[in-house]
Amino acid sequence: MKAKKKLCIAVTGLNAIDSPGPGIAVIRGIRENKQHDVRIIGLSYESLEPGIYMHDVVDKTYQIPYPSAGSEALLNRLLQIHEIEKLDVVIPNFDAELQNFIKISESLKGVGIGTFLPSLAQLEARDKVNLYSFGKKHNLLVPADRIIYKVDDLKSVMDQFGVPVVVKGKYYEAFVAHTLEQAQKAFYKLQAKWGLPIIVQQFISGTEINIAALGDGKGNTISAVPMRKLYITDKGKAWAGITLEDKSLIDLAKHFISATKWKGGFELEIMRTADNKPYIMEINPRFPAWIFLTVGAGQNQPDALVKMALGEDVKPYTDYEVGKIFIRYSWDLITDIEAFQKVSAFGEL
Amino acid sequence: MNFVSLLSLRDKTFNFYFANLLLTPPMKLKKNIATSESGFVFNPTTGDSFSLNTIGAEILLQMKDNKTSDDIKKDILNRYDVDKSLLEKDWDDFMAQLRDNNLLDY
Repeated sequence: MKAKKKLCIAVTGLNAIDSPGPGIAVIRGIRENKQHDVRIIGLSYESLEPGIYMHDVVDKTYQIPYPSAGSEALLNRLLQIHEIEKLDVVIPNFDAELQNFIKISESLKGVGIGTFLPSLAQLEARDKVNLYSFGKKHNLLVPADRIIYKVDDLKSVMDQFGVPVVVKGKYYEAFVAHTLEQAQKAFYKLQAKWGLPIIVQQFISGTEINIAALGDGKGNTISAVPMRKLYITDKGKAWAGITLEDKSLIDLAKHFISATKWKGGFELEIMRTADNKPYIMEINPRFPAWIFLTVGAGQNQPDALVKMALGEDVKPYTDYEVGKIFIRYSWDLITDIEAFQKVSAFGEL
Repeated sequence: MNFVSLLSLRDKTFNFYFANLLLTPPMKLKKNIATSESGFVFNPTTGDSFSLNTIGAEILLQMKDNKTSDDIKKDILNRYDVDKSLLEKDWDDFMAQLRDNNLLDY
């Protein structure tokens, strides 16, 4: 019998909360590959990220510095962890941390840690701030938007777009504003949390569809699975979703990948209008929190990403199961104060 | 989830005629629509799902078997106690709902 390949993989995004990070779903996908004997290292920012305490999912967790500490601090911490754990692959799962991880990816490669990430230029091009011009350049439907730095600019934008408008934070969160007062409130809330600029986007009504996809960095689509949200939380997150059969959505993902030569996982947030036009609302440069649905539907995107990060050739997936549903659930995990204390005091558990 | 009850045809025992049915244009169900005998309908392109009553489910299964509208109506008139004009009215309503919900192929 062939021995299982031992791998040590570090993953961020362990915040399996009401607006969850993708880490736990990514790990579940990785663990589905029974050819691999995997040790999962969780990388956390805060002491109460649930994944830290989920020992059947995450073997060991280390805290890492916040993105604002810069790429050098991150590299130093990862090298410390590597000394102990001998990491094979690192998979970052937060938008805000990606820039630092991309910057240090060559240094990580130098010590034998694989990543599979887009370039800084790719990351920048699909940023919310540049999305409209990105869409124009690549012939993709994107709602009109305005990038603003002052609350006073809201009025002219709303005069231009009409109401409602979508007021979006630089990294996360969005509010639909029907009045100037609502838009101002959203502006201040997002500014306090994520900083400037604020993006004000034309409101498009329709059906929310997301596509989780994986590009090989050479223009090929390794996987693309579209999902319609069936149940949406007050934060706009999918609490349940179903895989769809729609060639036009797969073609859209393929078009994005071939146009950008995207390397790594990403998510297209689509609003399909009543006349069947797929507007791209956002492009998230990492796997979504619902990525385990792709595994359930027959396309294990996290596993394929690990293989490519290890330098293996991966053949594109061609089929997936349509009508596969995910339903998210919350669960109270019980732990002891000692565990919390260890994470808080020593930065590891 | 978008569960919609689609049909209001009433089950009755047969005692009426099935002659002189008008020819109606073919109503084709989209090829990829999944249907079950229990009346559950799933549109894999949009992710919409519906539940039909017994006769709605029967009609959809017959449409899926490529039976013509006229054949399906004849079958209903044969097996149920229903006035032809009422059947025509309910049929048109039902087809309009199928069309509105993006389940027909034209």
